Amino acid sequence: MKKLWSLLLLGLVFMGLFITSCNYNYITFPEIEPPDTTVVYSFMDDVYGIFPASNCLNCHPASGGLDLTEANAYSSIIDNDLVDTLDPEGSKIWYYPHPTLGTHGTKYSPADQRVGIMLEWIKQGAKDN
Amino acid sequence: MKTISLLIAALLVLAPVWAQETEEKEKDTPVSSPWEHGILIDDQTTLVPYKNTLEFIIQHKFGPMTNGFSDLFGIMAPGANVRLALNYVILDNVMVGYGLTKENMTSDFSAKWAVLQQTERNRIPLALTVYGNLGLDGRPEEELGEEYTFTSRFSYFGQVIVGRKFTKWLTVQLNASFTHYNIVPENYDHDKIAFGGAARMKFSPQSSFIVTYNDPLNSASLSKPENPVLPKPNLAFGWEISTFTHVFQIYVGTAKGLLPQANVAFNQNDWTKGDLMFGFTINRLWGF
Repeated sequence: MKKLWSLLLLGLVFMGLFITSCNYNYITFPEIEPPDTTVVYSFMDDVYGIFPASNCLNCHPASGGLDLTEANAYSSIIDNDLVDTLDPEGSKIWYYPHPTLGTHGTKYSPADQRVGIMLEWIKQGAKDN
Repeated sequence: MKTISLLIAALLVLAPVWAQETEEKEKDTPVSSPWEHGILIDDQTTLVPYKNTLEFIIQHKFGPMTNGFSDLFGIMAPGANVRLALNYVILDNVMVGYGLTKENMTSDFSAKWAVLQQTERNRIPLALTVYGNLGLDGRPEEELGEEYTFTSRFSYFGQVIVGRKFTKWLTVQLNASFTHYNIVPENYDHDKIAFGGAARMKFSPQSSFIVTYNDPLNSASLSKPENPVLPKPNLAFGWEISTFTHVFQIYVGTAKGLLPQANVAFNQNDWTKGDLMFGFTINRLWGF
């Protein structure tokens, strides 16, 4: 009998928590202004900063063969085929840690304007500038 | 007269023995060790350990194997997922637990009840267990978007598991589950129903081949978003080694999550395309 009451109580707690707090929300963020397509973006000045800001360097001075330290980031990204100028949205450096599309453990911040700038930089040919 | 006396004496001596044997035959006990552990890779099993057992579980999944030798098939890759959990059997066949998962720093509070246990003489031919958990997303508020409220952090998972130990070396179970997330990324479903199965094939007293498979029910008519991102099935298989107080599982699996609701709702890895990763589980049991 004691067991039955304990189980009922446990069930009621779970049911109560479910019913009283069940809702249907989406993870949405304020829209960020799209990058200016008339501007030529520089890798070092406009894009690179997203890597230290997103804590990428905690793992990627070496991990997975990717070195995102300032001196080696560009060559390492190109050597690892992480950029595809023919299919910019298919560039791994952009979509893999993307705040909403990405499946990487660490992601770019959804409020970081450089996510859009990076895509524009790739569309402009992903130059070492 | 002497013969009759001897017969009576023999009956008096043997009667309690016969009675005991008959009672033992009538008593139908639960089958021993249908599973070695309450968790089989990512799945719950029908097993709840003995009352007053404390379990400490370490679950770990490495990175994807896709990079080959460059990161030793994911073993040296970043982004590994880890879960630490403590479970305690508070009543006969009832266990409660708490776990913490690295992915989204999710805390989970769980309860599991072995409603029916399969018995040796088949008076109860199947084991039936119900499992439920409540997940609490521990990410910073700003990562959960504009619609965030505290209850956005909650996710729920409920499952019914039916299993049978067919032989000393083969145990099979099937499950049906319901998952709900209070907040999801755009184009994902809040609610998911899934079906799955698991099996253990013992090939030595301590070692088994184990396999699990879970398939979320993906129907466009059940999805709320116009262009839903549909989760993919999760296949895993591996090797289980058990001792009296420890269980070890080493496996290869599809989904990165360590909580069942995460795998059902969000898994985008596709095992048919080789999206697999290594993982292991260590379980330590203490009896009080």
